[in-house]
Amino acid sequence: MYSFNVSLWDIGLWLGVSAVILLITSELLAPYYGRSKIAMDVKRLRTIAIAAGITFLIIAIVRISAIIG
Amino acid sequence: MSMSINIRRKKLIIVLPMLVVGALSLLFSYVYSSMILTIIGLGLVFWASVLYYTVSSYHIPREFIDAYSKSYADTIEHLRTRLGYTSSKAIFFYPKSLKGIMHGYVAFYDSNGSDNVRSLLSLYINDVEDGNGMSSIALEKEDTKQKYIILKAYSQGIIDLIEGKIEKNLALVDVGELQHILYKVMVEDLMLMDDIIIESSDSTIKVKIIGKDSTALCSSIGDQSLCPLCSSIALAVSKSTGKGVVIEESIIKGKSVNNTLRLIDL
Repeated sequence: MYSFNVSLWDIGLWLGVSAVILLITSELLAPYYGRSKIAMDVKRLRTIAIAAGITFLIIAIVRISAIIG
Repeated sequence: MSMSINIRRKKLIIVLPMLVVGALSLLFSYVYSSMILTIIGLGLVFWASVLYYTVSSYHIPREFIDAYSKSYADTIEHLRTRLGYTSSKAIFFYPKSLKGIMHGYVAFYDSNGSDNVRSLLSLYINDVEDGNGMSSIALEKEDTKQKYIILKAYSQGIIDLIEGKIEKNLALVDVGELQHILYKVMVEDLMLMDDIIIESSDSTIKVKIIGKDSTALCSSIGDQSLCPLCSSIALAVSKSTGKGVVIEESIIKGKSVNNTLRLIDL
């Protein structure tokens, strides 16, 4: 009756999109794109983006193996 | 301390509502089995966490760095003037020994005595190699009675910082690699400037520093040999080339600082 109406693949897809947005944001905050007034740790942002991307890839591999298997 | 609490409070003002709304969305999505609410809830919680984790809890305002740099430059200028060096140049150098390479030095000399400084510095470099160290700071050459001051380089800390970040000794890199190192550390890591370009020829090296804030810092200090950015770059070039470096000319134009460094064989 009560449940989350999302599958693992939906979360993986959402993580993939988030990873892309985070990577683009970290690049836009890079110094050669002009000065930014936000004191943001770009390295940490990039780390989170890569972690989200890797999680998406793991979920994708799980789904592919489920389809093949 | 109170400043970091204020900044933390400002962060929480943005992050907490996002977290609360996100958590509520997740709760309602569980109750009503709604996919949209789940996605909204996950998004808000995720972005709130990212914002909290990546936004710095404190930063050092530029005004503080400008004020500190200007005041210590004024102090050294005052020391120079009191010792009688009204028109002096500064030469940055490293003694060529295992002991000497750990710390750079800056010698202030009368700009008319540029040829004599080479012989005097050679004497002192030998002094370091003999283990005597540079004990005297104010010297007088016997024959010409010209005076010199030798101090430990005030931008050595920035060189140590750069070497710590790249995990390499700058004495082991050439000028080409030095440009990449300075770009990586000063532009990308520390964000002190927007760009740095180094062009080397036989006995001169042209350094161009681009950036609104870095230019403002350099222009607030009259003598570029006292500017933390320019002096640290000169010291880095000295360590890399193994020669003495003098900031021969400095032109500040718009958002860029153009320094011409002259290399002196020691």
